[in-house]
Parts: sequence; C-alpha cells; structure tokens
Amino acid sequence: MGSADYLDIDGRLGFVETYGSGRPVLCVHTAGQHGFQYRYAARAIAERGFQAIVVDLPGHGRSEPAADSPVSDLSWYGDWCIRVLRELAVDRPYLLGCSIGGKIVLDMATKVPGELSGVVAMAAYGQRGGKGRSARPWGLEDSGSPSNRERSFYGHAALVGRLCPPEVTQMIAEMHAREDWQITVPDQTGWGRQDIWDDLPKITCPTYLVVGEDDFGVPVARVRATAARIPGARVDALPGVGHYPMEELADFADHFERWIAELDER
Amino acid sequence: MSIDPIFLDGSDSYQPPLPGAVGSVRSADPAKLPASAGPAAELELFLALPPAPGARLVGLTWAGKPDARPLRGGEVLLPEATVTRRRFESGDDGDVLIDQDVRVTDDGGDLVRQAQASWSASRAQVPGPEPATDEIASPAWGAALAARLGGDAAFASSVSTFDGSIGLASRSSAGLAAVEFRIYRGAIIETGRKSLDGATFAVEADALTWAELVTGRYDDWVRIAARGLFTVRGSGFQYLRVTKTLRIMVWHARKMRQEARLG
Repeated sequence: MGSADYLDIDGRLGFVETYGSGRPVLCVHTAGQHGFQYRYAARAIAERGFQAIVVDLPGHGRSEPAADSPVSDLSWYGDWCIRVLRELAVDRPYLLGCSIGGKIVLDMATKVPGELSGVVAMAAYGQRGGKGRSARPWGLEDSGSPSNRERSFYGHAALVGRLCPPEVTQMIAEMHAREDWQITVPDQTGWGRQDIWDDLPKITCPTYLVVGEDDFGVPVARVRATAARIPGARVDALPGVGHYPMEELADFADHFERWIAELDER
Repeated sequence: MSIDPIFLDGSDSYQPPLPGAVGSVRSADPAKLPASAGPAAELELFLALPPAPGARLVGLTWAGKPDARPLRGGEVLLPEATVTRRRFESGDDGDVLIDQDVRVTDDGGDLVRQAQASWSASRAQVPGPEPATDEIASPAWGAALAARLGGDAAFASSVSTFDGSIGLASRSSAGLAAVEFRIYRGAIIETGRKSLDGATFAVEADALTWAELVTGRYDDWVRIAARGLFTVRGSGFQYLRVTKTLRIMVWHARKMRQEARLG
C-alpha cells in the first residue's frame, strides 16, 4: 500500500505519493502528465527495497497550479522538487525522471549534486530541445488547437517503442490523452528552452542516462553527447523502447535495480 | 479511439511487398567510385538498379543539396532503389512507367545522395498490376479507398461535422498524383482528381513517403509528420481538426494493400 499527501509549498498544494520504506527515489513524470505514469513502476521499485516518492508537478494531476502558472521553465520545476525533498526531510535520494522529468532531475543534479545518491534521467539530454522555439501563442487557445485529444492520443502512441505490446500502447495513449494542453504546451516550451549544457560538468553524483532507441524525439547521439559532459556518466540505449520506459517495460524495476547497482559501484 | 495492430506494426500478418511491386527495395552491389569521381560517376549510381530487364530511363530528378558532402575518389557506396509508383498503359501489350527512389549510402550507412528515376519497361518484364498500391493518391486508388471508407462507421462519425474536401497528393519524377474526397455530413459524396471548389486542405508528400507509409510494417504517420515530410496546403486548422479521419484513411489504405497482398 502506498500513502499520499498534499504538501503546502508557497501556498499551493502539491500532491505526493509514497510507496515502500527503503532508499528514497524521487520519481518525476513527463510533459502534461502526472504521477500515474509510475503507478506500476513505483510499487515494483518499492518491492526491491526502495521508497518511491512520486510527485505531481504543479498544475499537473492532483497538484494545484503554481502561482505564476503556466510554468515554462524546467529549472523552476527543479527548484520545486528540491523543496519537496526538503519538506519531506529525505536524505540522499536517487532521482528518476523521464522526458521533462529527465531534464528536471538533471537540472536538480547541477544544483545539489552533493545531496544526491544518484540520478537516472530517461529520454532527456542537456541541450535545447527540438528547435528551441518559444510556445506558439495559438497553442494555448482552444480556437487555434483543434482535436487536441486525438492528436495527443496518436502522438503518444507513436512515441511508444516498437516492441511494446499493442494493448500497453493503447493504455499509454489513452491515459496520456487526458492531458491539459494549457499545461502541456508550456511544459513543451520548457523542454525546448532548457539549456544546461554548460552546467553538466557540475553533476558530480553518479548518473545514468537512459534512452529508448525507438524514441524519435530523443536522438541517442544527443544523449551520448550529454553523458560525455557529466563525469563518469553512463548510457543505456534500450532497443525497441520508446519515450516512456517506466510505462512500456513490464520489467522496468529490474532495469532500475541494475542501473542503481551500477551507480552504487562508483 | 483504439489501436489495431495494423495501426502500429501488423506484426502477425504483415507481408512485405513482392519484388518489383510498390514498396519493394533492391540493393546493388557496393560500387567503388573511380579515382577522380565526377558528376557522371554519381549519375551512374542512380542508374545502377533498373526496375526490370530492358527498362529504359525516361526521367530523373536529382535535387542536389548544398550541404551534401563531396564524394571521394575510390569511396565505396551502396545504391538502393525503392519502387514508388507503377503506371500501366492501357492494353495488354502497353508499357509500364515505373518510378523509383534511389538512395546512395556510404560505408558508414549515412545517406550521401538521393534521386528519383522514372523508367519505361515492357509489361512482360514486370509483376502484374496491384491497384491497391500501384498509383497511391491517384483518382482510381482514391475511389477504391472511398468505397471502403463508406462502410466504416468510425470514419463517418469522424467527419459528421465536416463539409469540405480532403486532398491527398504524391510527387514523383513522373509528376503529381492527386485525389480529392468531397465530404458532407459524414459521407464521401464524390471522389476525383479535383473537387469543384478545390480541397479544403491537401496533404502532399513524395512518392517514397506514401509508398513506405502504405506498404511498410509500421504505420508511421506521426513520425513522418514529425520529420516534416508532409506538406499541407490549404487550411491547416481543418487538417488538424480531422486528425482521426486521416488516421482512419491511412489505416484503410494499409488494410486494403494488406488484403490485396494476401489475396
């Protein structure tokens, strides 16, 4: 059984779930989504001796929006996650994030590397993303963005790896298509703008970068280039996997346990 | 919305294109460029894979890219040709116009040159007609697709509030194949090269993109769109509005091809 609570951070409630009682792992979700993405992985991780702490970033899932919403600065989310860890008095956690969550945990690692046991950043790199463009204003207007749900459904299905069973792909696409584009679009803007390239060498904690070889949005070469700037960082390129390893892989916890074991060897 | 396996991979029943059919790929033996490689040597690479014995070159589109790296003398390159369209002239003894997309890769697997070639071949030298894929985006192909769409309640529902025409177009070195579907209140009321008032929007891509989309193992519509290989002319808003409709149309195009392939 997990537990859940709301934390009051700057007068806004943030939703946090916790599973297990072992070594703490902060789990951060992807753009426009929320902690449900770890609903299977968090329990499985907990069964392997970890305490999975799953957050809904402000404005996502069951967390209230930030006072300055919409947020399109991933560094702001990184600071918020650090606040969460301090509110919960978590000691030397591992960080696990995917997509913007991956970029957020890398951002956190540049800021507080000495407070972390290690980082696993999935589907993320340190350079600006995509074309690095700002949000197109009409993207936040319903009148300018028709069929968002359908575009979300098919878009997320396409981001899933080739080896994922169709029924799992269907579930991922259905769940992801429930996103609120007023939140997703600023998240995507943050993905495009974030540039921590110069700060990557500050990440002195053990770091693993994980990328799905079928993830057409995250080139493996970019991930390897990012890893080359982080002292001792490792890369795991997963064949047949797309943008959402924690949702696509039935044996995700086995992979996670292996990554952590390798990081702990450092 | 749901995902049928053929939406993504068709893994259990997928049948690759037959040799010589649209979507089929042939590779030549690796070719070593002469010590002083010039444009003529590069041109020869594009002509290394005639699609049928005795085929005669009738067209070539070689859109050079300013950032293409120079080829080195003695370099080993691999030409690969995909059949992208076949047009059978009327009559049993007419010739067949075959379009190819030719890609040349280096020994590191990087694409270094690409061109489109058109060939005329004797009908006796090529596999027989396959209407489901020979001329994707032609009026005849569109009519066959429309017949399937007319029996699909999901398609009808997806366009129940649409009043306009959806166009599909395919570019090759032999010209543009185009079809428009005139749609009103959930039904396709006419199919042809051009609707009276023109397309509300038209999705255009090169013939290789269409061939791979319709005949490939995976339905890569989203990935193709993300790579910018589709050009949308007309109303981009309406294009986005009928996202599901377009996915259903592609699904039927793939299914039509798959069923024809399995006989």
